[in-house]
Amino acid sequence: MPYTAPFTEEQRDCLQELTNVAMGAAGESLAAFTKTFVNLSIPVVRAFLPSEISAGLARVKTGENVSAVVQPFLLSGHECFALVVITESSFTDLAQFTGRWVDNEVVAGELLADLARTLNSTCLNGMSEMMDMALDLESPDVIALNIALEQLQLQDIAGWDSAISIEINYHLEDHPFNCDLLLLFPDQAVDDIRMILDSMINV
Amino acid sequence: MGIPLLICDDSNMARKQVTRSLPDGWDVDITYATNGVEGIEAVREGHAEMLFLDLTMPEMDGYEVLEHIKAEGHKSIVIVISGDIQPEARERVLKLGALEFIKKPINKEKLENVLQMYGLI
Repeated sequence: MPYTAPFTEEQRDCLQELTNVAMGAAGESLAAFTKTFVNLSIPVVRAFLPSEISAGLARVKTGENVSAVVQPFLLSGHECFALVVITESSFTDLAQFTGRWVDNEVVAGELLADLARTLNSTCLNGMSEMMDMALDLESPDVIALNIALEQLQLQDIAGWDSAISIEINYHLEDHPFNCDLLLLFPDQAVDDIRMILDSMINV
Repeated sequence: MGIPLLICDDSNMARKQVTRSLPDGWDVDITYATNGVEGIEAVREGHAEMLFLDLTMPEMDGYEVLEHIKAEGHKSIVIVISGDIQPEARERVLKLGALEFIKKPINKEKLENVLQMYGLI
Protein backbone atom coordinates (compact mmCIF):
# COMPACT_ATOMS: atom_id res chain seq x y z
CA MET A 1 0.00 0.00 0.00
CA PRO A 2 1.53 3.37 -0.95
CA TYR A 3 2.23 5.73 1.89
CA THR A 4 -0.44 8.42 2.11
CA ALA A 5 -0.39 9.40 5.78
CA PRO A 6 -0.49 13.15 6.37
CA PHE A 7 3.13 13.54 7.43
CA THR A 8 6.17 14.92 5.71
CA GLU A 9 8.93 12.39 5.08
CA GLU A 10 10.85 13.90 7.99
CA GLN A 11 7.87 13.53 10.33
CA ARG A 12 7.22 9.95 9.18
CA ASP A 13 10.89 9.08 9.73
CA CYS A 14 10.78 10.59 13.22
CA LEU A 15 7.58 8.72 14.12
CA GLN A 16 9.04 5.47 12.79
CA GLU A 17 12.29 5.93 14.70
CA LEU A 18 10.65 6.77 17.99
CA THR A 19 8.35 3.76 17.56
CA ASN A 20 11.39 1.67 16.73
CA VAL A 21 13.05 2.59 20.03
CA ALA A 22 9.83 2.10 22.03
CA MET A 23 9.13 -1.28 20.43
CA GLY A 24 12.65 -2.36 21.35
CA ALA A 25 11.81 -1.85 25.01
CA ALA A 26 8.54 -3.73 24.52
CA GLY A 27 10.47 -6.47 22.73
CA GLU A 28 12.59 -6.93 25.82
CA SER A 29 9.44 -7.29 27.93
CA LEU A 30 8.10 -9.87 25.47
CA ALA A 31 11.43 -11.72 25.57
CA ALA A 32 11.21 -11.84 29.37
CA PHE A 33 7.54 -12.93 29.18
CA THR A 34 8.25 -15.74 26.71
CA LYS A 35 11.88 -16.43 27.69
CA THR A 36 12.81 -16.40 24.00
CA PHE A 37 14.77 -14.03 21.76
CA VAL A 38 12.48 -11.62 19.95
CA ASN A 39 13.18 -10.55 16.39
CA LEU A 40 12.26 -6.93 15.81
CA SER A 41 11.22 -5.56 12.47
CA ILE A 42 10.82 -2.05 11.13
CA PRO A 43 7.52 -0.44 12.17
CA VAL A 44 5.22 0.65 9.34
CA VAL A 45 3.21 3.89 9.40
CA ARG A 46 0.03 3.84 7.29
CA ALA A 47 -3.12 5.82 6.65
CA PHE A 48 -6.23 3.63 6.58
CA LEU A 49 -10.00 3.54 6.67
CA PRO A 50 -11.53 2.21 9.90
CA SER A 51 -13.47 -0.40 7.91
CA GLU A 52 -10.20 -1.80 6.56
CA ILE A 53 -8.43 -2.48 9.79
CA SER A 54 -7.09 -5.82 8.58
CA ALA A 55 -5.15 -3.90 5.90
CA GLY A 56 -2.99 -2.48 8.69
CA LEU A 57 -2.20 -5.96 9.94
CA ALA A 58 -0.12 -7.18 7.01
CA ARG A 59 2.30 -9.21 9.10
CA VAL A 60 -0.32 -11.44 10.74
CA LYS A 61 -2.14 -12.13 7.46
CA THR A 62 -1.32 -15.81 7.36
CA GLY A 63 -4.74 -17.30 6.66
CA GLU A 64 -4.92 -18.47 10.24
CA ASN A 65 -7.55 -17.35 12.72
CA VAL A 66 -6.57 -14.62 15.16
CA SER A 67 -7.38 -13.32 18.61
CA ALA A 68 -7.26 -9.65 19.52
CA VAL A 69 -7.09 -7.37 22.53
CA VAL A 70 -7.63 -3.63 22.49
CA GLN A 71 -6.34 -1.14 25.04
CA PRO A 72 -7.40 2.52 24.77
CA PHE A 73 -5.03 5.37 25.62
CA LEU A 74 -5.26 9.14 25.57
CA LEU A 75 -3.01 11.43 23.54
CA SER A 76 -3.72 15.14 24.14
CA GLY A 77 -7.33 14.29 24.95
CA HIS A 78 -7.82 12.15 21.83
CA GLU A 79 -8.82 8.54 22.37
CA CYS A 80 -6.36 6.26 20.60
CA PHE A 81 -6.03 2.48 20.67
CA ALA A 82 -3.33 -0.14 21.01
CA LEU A 83 -4.56 -3.30 19.31
CA VAL A 84 -2.69 -6.56 19.80
CA VAL A 85 -3.46 -9.30 17.27
CA ILE A 86 -2.03 -12.78 17.53
CA THR A 87 -2.45 -15.81 15.27
CA GLU A 88 -3.85 -19.02 16.74
CA SER A 89 -0.65 -21.03 16.48
CA SER A 90 1.19 -18.14 18.14
CA PHE A 91 -1.35 -18.20 20.92
CA THR A 92 -0.69 -21.90 21.47
CA ASP A 93 3.04 -21.10 21.55
CA LEU A 94 2.44 -18.31 24.02
CA ALA A 95 0.51 -20.59 26.36
CA GLN A 96 3.37 -23.06 26.22
CA PHE A 97 6.10 -20.45 26.78
CA THR A 98 4.32 -19.02 29.78
CA GLY A 99 3.37 -22.41 31.21
CA ARG A 100 -0.37 -21.69 31.18
CA TRP A 101 -2.95 -24.39 30.70
CA VAL A 102 -5.55 -22.74 28.50
CA ASP A 103 -8.72 -24.86 28.57
CA ASN A 104 -11.41 -22.21 28.51
CA GLU A 105 -12.14 -18.74 27.18
CA VAL A 106 -11.62 -17.01 30.51
CA VAL A 107 -8.07 -18.28 30.84
CA ALA A 108 -7.44 -17.51 27.16
CA GLY A 109 -8.68 -13.97 27.70
CA GLU A 110 -6.44 -13.51 30.74
CA LEU A 111 -3.38 -14.65 28.84
CA LEU A 112 -4.20 -12.32 25.94
CA ALA A 113 -4.75 -9.41 28.31
CA ASP A 114 -1.39 -10.15 29.97
CA LEU A 115 0.31 -10.17 26.59
CA ALA A 116 -1.31 -6.84 25.65
CA ARG A 117 -0.37 -5.23 28.97
CA THR A 118 3.21 -6.48 28.61
CA LEU A 119 3.64 -5.05 25.12
CA ASN A 120 1.53 -1.92 25.38
CA SER A 121 2.70 -0.55 28.70
CA THR A 122 6.39 -0.77 27.79
CA CYS A 123 5.92 0.48 24.25
CA LEU A 124 3.71 3.43 25.19
CA ASN A 125 5.86 4.32 28.20
CA GLY A 126 8.83 4.52 25.86
CA MET A 127 6.95 6.69 23.38
CA SER A 128 5.58 8.88 26.14
CA GLU A 129 9.08 9.46 27.54
CA MET A 130 10.54 10.38 24.16
CA MET A 131 7.57 12.55 23.18
CA ASP A 132 7.63 14.10 26.63
CA MET A 133 3.88 13.77 27.09
CA ALA A 134 1.51 11.53 29.01
CA LEU A 135 -0.13 8.60 27.21
CA ASP A 136 -2.59 7.23 29.76
CA LEU A 137 -3.41 3.57 29.19
CA GLU A 138 -6.76 2.15 30.17
CA SER A 139 -7.57 -1.54 30.79
CA PRO A 140 -7.26 -4.12 28.02
CA ASP A 141 -10.38 -5.67 26.56
CA VAL A 142 -10.42 -8.93 24.59
CA ILE A 143 -12.43 -8.25 21.41
CA ALA A 144 -11.86 -11.42 19.42
CA LEU A 145 -11.09 -15.04 20.17
CA ASN A 146 -10.15 -17.32 17.31
CA ILE A 147 -11.86 -15.55 14.40
CA ALA A 148 -10.88 -14.92 10.77
CA LEU A 149 -8.68 -11.82 10.43
CA GLU A 150 -11.06 -10.35 7.84
CA GLN A 151 -13.88 -10.45 10.39
CA LEU A 152 -11.95 -8.41 12.91
CA GLN A 153 -13.73 -5.13 13.63
CA LEU A 154 -13.02 -2.52 16.23
CA GLN A 155 -16.32 -0.88 17.19
CA ASP A 156 -14.57 1.97 18.98
CA ILE A 157 -13.16 3.34 15.76
CA ALA A 158 -16.19 2.72 13.54
CA GLY A 159 -17.05 6.42 13.74
CA TRP A 160 -13.62 7.62 12.60
CA ASP A 161 -13.32 9.05 9.09
CA SER A 162 -9.78 7.92 8.61
CA ALA A 163 -6.89 7.06 10.82
CA ILE A 164 -3.18 6.59 11.16
CA SER A 165 -1.82 3.22 12.13
CA ILE A 166 1.62 2.06 13.13
CA GLU A 167 2.16 -1.66 12.68
CA ILE A 168 4.71 -3.16 15.03
CA ASN A 169 5.45 -6.81 14.40
CA TYR A 170 7.12 -9.19 16.80
CA HIS A 171 8.24 -12.66 15.98
CA LEU A 172 10.21 -15.11 18.03
CA GLU A 173 13.36 -16.70 16.77
CA ASP A 174 12.99 -20.37 15.75
CA HIS A 175 9.25 -20.33 16.46
CA PRO A 176 6.23 -19.60 14.29
CA PHE A 177 5.12 -17.06 16.92
CA ASN A 178 3.95 -13.90 15.19
CA CYS A 179 2.04 -11.02 16.69
CA ASP A 180 1.16 -7.48 15.69
CA LEU A 181 0.78 -4.43 17.86
CA LEU A 182 -1.21 -1.85 15.93
CA LEU A 183 -1.29 1.69 17.28
CA LEU A 184 -4.35 3.56 16.02
CA PHE A 185 -4.68 7.33 16.02
CA PRO A 186 -7.76 9.23 14.81
CA ASP A 187 -7.39 11.95 12.21
CA GLN A 188 -8.14 14.55 14.87
CA ALA A 189 -4.93 13.62 16.71
CA VAL A 190 -2.74 14.18 13.65
CA ASP A 191 -2.14 17.89 14.27
CA ASP A 192 -0.98 17.19 17.80
CA ILE A 193 1.25 14.35 16.64
CA ARG A 194 2.78 16.56 13.94
CA MET A 195 3.52 19.22 16.54
CA ILE A 196 5.22 16.73 18.82
CA LEU A 197 7.27 15.31 15.95
CA ASP A 198 8.33 18.79 14.80
CA SER A 199 9.52 19.64 18.28
CA MET A 200 11.61 16.45 18.29
CA ILE A 201 12.99 17.14 14.81
CA ASN A 202 13.93 20.74 15.59
CA VAL A 203 15.95 20.05 18.72
CA MET B 1 41.96 14.46 7.65
CA GLY B 2 40.03 13.20 10.65
CA ILE B 3 39.25 9.62 11.62
CA PRO B 4 36.98 7.97 9.01
CA LEU B 5 33.69 7.51 10.87
CA LEU B 6 30.73 5.71 9.34
CA ILE B 7 27.24 6.26 10.76
CA CYS B 8 24.90 3.52 9.55
CA ASP B 9 21.19 3.83 10.39
CA ASP B 10 18.08 3.75 8.22
CA SER B 11 16.52 6.66 10.07
CA ASN B 12 17.50 10.19 9.11
CA MET B 13 16.58 11.36 12.61
CA ALA B 14 18.74 8.69 14.22
CA ARG B 15 21.71 9.66 12.02
CA LYS B 16 21.23 13.29 13.06
CA GLN B 17 20.98 12.33 16.73
CA VAL B 18 24.24 10.39 16.51
CA THR B 19 25.93 13.29 14.73
CA ARG B 20 24.71 15.73 17.37
CA SER B 21 26.02 13.43 20.10
CA LEU B 22 29.61 13.40 18.82
CA PRO B 23 32.11 14.97 21.23
CA ASP B 24 32.79 18.64 20.48
CA GLY B 25 35.87 19.19 18.38
CA TRP B 26 36.36 15.47 17.67
CA ASP B 27 38.25 15.31 14.39
CA VAL B 28 36.22 12.86 12.29
CA ASP B 29 35.47 12.50 8.62
CA ILE B 30 31.83 11.34 8.55
CA THR B 31 30.20 9.08 5.95
CA TYR B 32 26.53 8.12 6.21
CA ALA B 33 24.86 4.86 5.18
CA THR B 34 21.10 4.27 5.22
CA ASN B 35 21.09 0.47 5.35
CA GLY B 36 23.44 -2.45 5.85
CA VAL B 37 24.23 -2.89 2.16
CA GLU B 38 25.39 0.71 1.86
CA GLY B 39 27.14 0.28 5.19
CA ILE B 40 29.30 -2.67 4.21
CA GLU B 41 30.11 -0.97 0.88
CA ALA B 42 31.40 2.06 2.80
CA VAL B 43 33.42 -0.21 5.08
CA ARG B 44 35.04 -1.84 2.04
CA GLU B 45 35.86 1.60 0.65
CA GLY B 46 37.74 2.45 3.84
CA HIS B 47 35.26 4.92 5.34
CA ALA B 48 34.91 3.09 8.64
CA GLU B 49 37.88 3.15 10.92
CA MET B 50 35.02 3.61 13.38
CA LEU B 51 31.46 2.50 12.76
CA PHE B 52 28.33 3.49 14.68
CA LEU B 53 25.84 0.83 13.66
CA ASP B 54 22.07 0.37 14.04
CA LEU B 55 20.64 -3.17 14.12
CA THR B 56 17.10 -3.08 12.69
CA MET B 57 17.53 -1.90 9.09
CA PRO B 58 16.13 -2.81 5.67
CA GLU B 59 18.17 -4.60 2.97
CA MET B 60 20.76 -5.86 5.44
CA ASP B 61 20.55 -5.59 9.22
CA GLY B 62 23.32 -4.72 11.65
CA TYR B 63 24.02 -8.33 12.60
CA GLU B 64 24.74 -9.17 8.97
CA VAL B 65 27.00 -6.12 8.64
CA LEU B 66 29.00 -7.39 11.63
CA GLU B 67 29.20 -10.87 10.08
CA HIS B 68 30.54 -9.40 6.83
CA ILE B 69 33.08 -7.24 8.64
CA LYS B 70 34.31 -10.28 10.53
CA ALA B 71 34.38 -12.58 7.49
CA GLU B 72 36.16 -10.02 5.31
CA GLY B 73 38.64 -9.15 8.04
CA HIS B 74 38.01 -5.39 8.24
CA LYS B 75 39.49 -3.70 11.28
CA SER B 76 36.63 -1.28 11.98
CA ILE B 77 35.91 -0.42 15.60
CA VAL B 78 32.15 -0.96 15.83
CA ILE B 79 29.81 0.55 18.39
CA VAL B 80 26.23 -0.64 18.03
CA ILE B 81 23.55 1.97 18.77
CA SER B 82 20.17 0.27 18.88
CA GLY B 83 16.70 0.25 20.40
CA ASP B 84 16.87 -3.54 20.72
CA ILE B 85 17.65 -3.69 24.42
CA GLN B 86 17.36 -7.44 24.96
CA PRO B 87 20.43 -8.59 26.88
CA GLU B 88 20.87 -11.28 24.26
CA ALA B 89 21.07 -8.69 21.46
CA ARG B 90 24.02 -7.12 23.26
CA GLU B 91 25.70 -10.50 23.79
CA ARG B 92 25.23 -11.37 20.13
CA VAL B 93 26.78 -8.21 18.74
CA LEU B 94 29.73 -8.38 21.15
CA LYS B 95 30.28 -11.97 20.04
CA LEU B 96 30.20 -10.77 16.43
CA GLY B 97 33.02 -8.36 17.17
CA ALA B 98 31.33 -5.11 18.22
CA LEU B 99 33.24 -3.22 20.88
CA GLU B 100 30.24 -1.89 22.77
CA PHE B 101 26.46 -1.52 22.70
CA ILE B 102 24.65 1.74 23.42
CA LYS B 103 20.88 1.83 23.97
CA LYS B 104 18.87 4.33 21.96
CA PRO B 105 17.99 7.10 22.28
CA ILE B 106 21.61 8.22 22.03
CA ASN B 107 22.91 11.40 23.64
CA LYS B 108 26.25 13.15 24.10
CA GLU B 109 26.82 11.81 27.59
CA LYS B 110 26.23 8.15 26.69
CA LEU B 111 28.47 8.33 23.65
CA GLU B 112 31.28 10.22 25.36
CA ASN B 113 31.25 7.78 28.28
CA VAL B 114 31.78 4.84 25.96
CA LEU B 115 34.42 6.60 23.86
CA GLN B 116 36.28 7.59 27.01
CA MET B 117 35.96 4.14 28.56
CA TYR B 118 37.80 2.65 25.58
CA GLY B 119 40.29 5.49 25.28
CA LEU B 120 38.95 6.49 21.87
CA ILE B 121 38.86 10.20 22.66
